[in-house]
Amino acid sequence: MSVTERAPRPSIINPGRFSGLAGRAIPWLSGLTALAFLIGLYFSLYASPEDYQQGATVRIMYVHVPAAWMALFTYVVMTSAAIGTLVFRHPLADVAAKSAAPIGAAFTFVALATGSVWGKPMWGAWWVWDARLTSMLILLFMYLGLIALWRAVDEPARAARVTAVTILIGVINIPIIKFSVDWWNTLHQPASVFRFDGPTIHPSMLTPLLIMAVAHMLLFATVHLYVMRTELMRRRARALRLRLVGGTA
Amino acid sequence: MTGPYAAFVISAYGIAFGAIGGIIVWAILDRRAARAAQARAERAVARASEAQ
Repeated sequence: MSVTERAPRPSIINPGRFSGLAGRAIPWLSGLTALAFLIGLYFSLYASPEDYQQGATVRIMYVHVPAAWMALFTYVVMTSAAIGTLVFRHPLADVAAKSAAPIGAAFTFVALATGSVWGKPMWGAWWVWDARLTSMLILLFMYLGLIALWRAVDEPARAARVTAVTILIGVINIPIIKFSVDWWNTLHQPASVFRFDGPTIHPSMLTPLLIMAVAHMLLFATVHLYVMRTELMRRRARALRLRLVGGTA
Repeated sequence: MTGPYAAFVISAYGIAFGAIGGIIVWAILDRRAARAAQARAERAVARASEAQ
């Protein structure tokens, strides 16, 4: 091979090869996700104690906290993909970012809604304009705005660039969400798991929380790969239509 | 599950699994639509190739 020839892409990041690998992984991931949720629900609803102050409402934590973690994690995935789009111009990067947005929106909605249901018996209010809650609401609007932006721009390469820049601007909200409970005086409790001095939560509650977090992570991986394959299918259909219009069929 | 907070716990789990179910159903329906669009495009390209 001469030095001017382009080296072949590693197979995993070739869209066709990726689609095949994802297709084989999805059934296994689906099974693992279902298993993790079954184990997680058993611990969350039956094999974990009630809180001495909050009573049974502490069980809401096992769906609320993993959803909130995944809402932030999904945005971090989208940020990495946005860098992949702008710096490396990789065709799968925009597909990854676009496919993650609806999943991130769903996790953010779950975190907000379950937090509201937890807040009513504990704080006496469904909603307060607290720094953590407000910054999470902004995250939901960011996800919805990005989904709308992808749909509004017809040309995929232009949509990829515009949304990648918007994602990178919006990432400023992620540390604000994380540290809002430390920077401002809020009703929301401070972090009790990801702390420099270790978790402050009892192992009998930490175990179901971590199992549910793994279940949510597996769910994200499964749905994300599935939606990415769908998006690749849609782009192939678009390329075929353009080929037809261009008269090169 | 019983007790004064049962309704709140059941509602929270209902919302969480409703949203998870919703995103899974959306993903499946979206796949069907994309597959149909791809099949239509492939048929159109095949017809155009035969016509040439």
